[in-house]
Amino acid sequence: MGGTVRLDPGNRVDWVPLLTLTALALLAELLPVRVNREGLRITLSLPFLTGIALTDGPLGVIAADVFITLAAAIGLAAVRREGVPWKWLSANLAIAAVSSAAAGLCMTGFLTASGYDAWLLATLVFVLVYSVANFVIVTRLNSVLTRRDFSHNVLAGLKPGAIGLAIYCLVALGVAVLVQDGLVLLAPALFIPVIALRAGLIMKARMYEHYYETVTALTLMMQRTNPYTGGHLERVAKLAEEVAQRLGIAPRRARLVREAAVLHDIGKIAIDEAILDKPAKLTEAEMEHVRRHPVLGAEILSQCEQFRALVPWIRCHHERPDGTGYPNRLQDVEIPLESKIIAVVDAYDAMVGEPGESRPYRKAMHRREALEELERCSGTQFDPNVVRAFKEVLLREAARA
Amino acid sequence: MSISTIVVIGCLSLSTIGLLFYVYWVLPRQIESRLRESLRVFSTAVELRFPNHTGLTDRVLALGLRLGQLAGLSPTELRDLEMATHLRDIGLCAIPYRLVKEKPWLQWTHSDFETYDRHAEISAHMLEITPSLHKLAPIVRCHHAPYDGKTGWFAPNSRAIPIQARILYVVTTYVWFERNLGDLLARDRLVEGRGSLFDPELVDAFLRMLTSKGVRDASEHLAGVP
Repeated sequence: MGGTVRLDPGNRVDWVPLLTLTALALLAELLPVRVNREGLRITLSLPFLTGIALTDGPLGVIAADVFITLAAAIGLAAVRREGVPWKWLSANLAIAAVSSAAAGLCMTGFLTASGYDAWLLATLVFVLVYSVANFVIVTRLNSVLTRRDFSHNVLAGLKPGAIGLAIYCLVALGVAVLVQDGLVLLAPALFIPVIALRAGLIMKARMYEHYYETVTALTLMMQRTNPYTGGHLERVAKLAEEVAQRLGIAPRRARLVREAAVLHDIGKIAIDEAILDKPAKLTEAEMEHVRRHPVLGAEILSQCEQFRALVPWIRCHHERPDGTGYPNRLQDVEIPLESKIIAVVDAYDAMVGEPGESRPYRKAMHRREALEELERCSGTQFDPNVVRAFKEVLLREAARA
Repeated sequence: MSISTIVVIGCLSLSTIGLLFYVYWVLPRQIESRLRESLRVFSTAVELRFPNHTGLTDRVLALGLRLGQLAGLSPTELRDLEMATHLRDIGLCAIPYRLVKEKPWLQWTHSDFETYDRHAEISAHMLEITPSLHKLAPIVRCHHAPYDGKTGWFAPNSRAIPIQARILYVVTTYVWFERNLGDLLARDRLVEGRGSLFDPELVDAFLRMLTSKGVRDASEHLAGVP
C-alpha cells in the first residue's frame, strides 16, 4: 500500500492512494452543506483532493475533481428522485476544473522552484490557491445572481471562510503526511474533523435561518396590527441597505440596517390600531400614545442578544437633527446614522407608496414631489448627508432601470 | 513515522478535539440560548400590547413545565411546551386593542370571548409559515380547545389535541383566574371544567401539584409574595 509525493510523469499511477482518496472525496462531496438562504451549498472534499494532487499531479486532480463533482451530482439527484440540474452542474464542473487546474499548476510550480522536499508547504499552496479561486468564482457568481456588490460579498464571506480554510489546511496536511508515510488507508480517520466541521456549518446555518425566521414572524405580527404591506417593508429594507453602503457603512452593519428598517415600527404592535388607522388629525393625547412606539420597539427587541445592535437605531428613528424629535429630543450628533437612514427611507416610501401600503389615509405623491419634500426638510427633520446619499441611490436605480 | 507526521497528526488531533467540543457542546447551547431569547421577544411584544398579560408567561411556564414533568413528557416534548408557552399568544396582535385594553374582562359578551379565542388560530397560522416553528402550530392552535370536543367555535376531538395544548389550557386558565379572582376561584374553575373543558387527569395532577410545598413556594416567589 501507499504512495509518495511525486509529480514526475514518468512514474506509474499509485492506484491505492488514488482510489482511497477519490472515494473519500466523493463521500465528502455527497454531503453538501447549505450555507445561505439563496441555496449556496459547499462541500468538504478539498483536503482529499490535495492528497490526489500530491500523488498524481495537476491532471490527476483535475480529472478526480471533475469526476467526483459529476458523480455526486448524479448520485444526489437519483437519491432525491429529481432530475440532474445540468445548468448548475456544468457551472460546478467548470468551477471545479478551473480551481483544481490553478491550484495544481501553482503547486507544481512551487515544488519545481523550491524542491520536492517542500511538499508540506506545497500542500498549503494547493489548498490556499484552490480555496481562493473557488471563493472568488462562487462569490462573483453569487453577486451576479443576487445583484449584490461583489466586494461586499467577499468581505461578508471572509470570516467564516477563513475558519473553514484553517481546518481544511490542517486536514490536508494530515492527508499529505499519511500519503507520504504510506499510511493512506488510515485517511478515513480524517473524516472525523470533516464531519465535525460539517455539523458546525449546519448548526450555524440553522442559527442564521432561525434569526431570519424570527424577523419574518415579527414582521407578520407587525403587519397584523398595522396597515403595512410586505411591499413597503421590502422596499424600505432594500433602500436602507443601499443608502447605508453608499454612506460607507460596512456590509455586515448595512445588512443590520436592512433588518432594522424592516422592524423599525415593531413598537406599533403595542399601539391602538384604531389610532394608527384614524383618517383625521390625531389629538395631543393620541399623538403621545403613538410617540411611545420607538421606546416600545426598543424594549421588545432588547430581549434578544441578536437584536441588541438594532435597539438604539429603532429607539432613535423619530429623532430629528434640529433636536425636536422624539422620544428624547436628541441633538444631531447624538442620533445614530442608522436611525437617520431609516427616517429618510421610511418617509420617502410612505410619501410615494400607494394608499394602504403604509399610510392608509394619504394619497401617493409623485417621486419628484417626495424628493423635494425630503430636501425641504433636510437639515431639520432629515440629515443632509443621508438625503444626498439617498438621492444618489435613487439616481443609480433609475440609471439601472 | 517521521517527525513531520507526528507534529501534523498531533496538531490535527488537538484541533479536532477542540472542534468537536465547540460543535457538540458550545454551539448547541448557544443555539438553545438564542432560541429562548428570541421567543422572549414575542412574549414581550404581547405583554407590551396588553399589560394585563405582563408576567403571565413566566408563571405559565413555571407551572406548565412542572405539570409536563408530572405528566411524563419527554425532554423534547417539554421543550416544545416551553416554546409554545412563549408563542401561544402572538396572535393577540390581531385582536382589537380596545377589547382587551379598555373593556373590563368580566363585562365581555360571548361574542367578545369568541373574538379573543381566535388568537389561537391566528398564532398557529403565523407559526405555520415559519419553518423552524412549524411543529408548534398544532399545540398553539389547540391551547384553548375544549377537551370534550363540544364547546366553543373550535373544538377538535380530544385525541387530536396535543398533550402540551391540554397542559397549556389547564395552566393558562388557572393563572388567568388566579390573577383576576384569586387562587380558590381559579381552582373551582378547573374543577368545574374537569372532563368538559379540561383533561380530567391533568386537572387532578395539577391540583395535587398546587398543594405540594415545592410548587407553593415557587409560586409565591414568582408572584412576588414576600
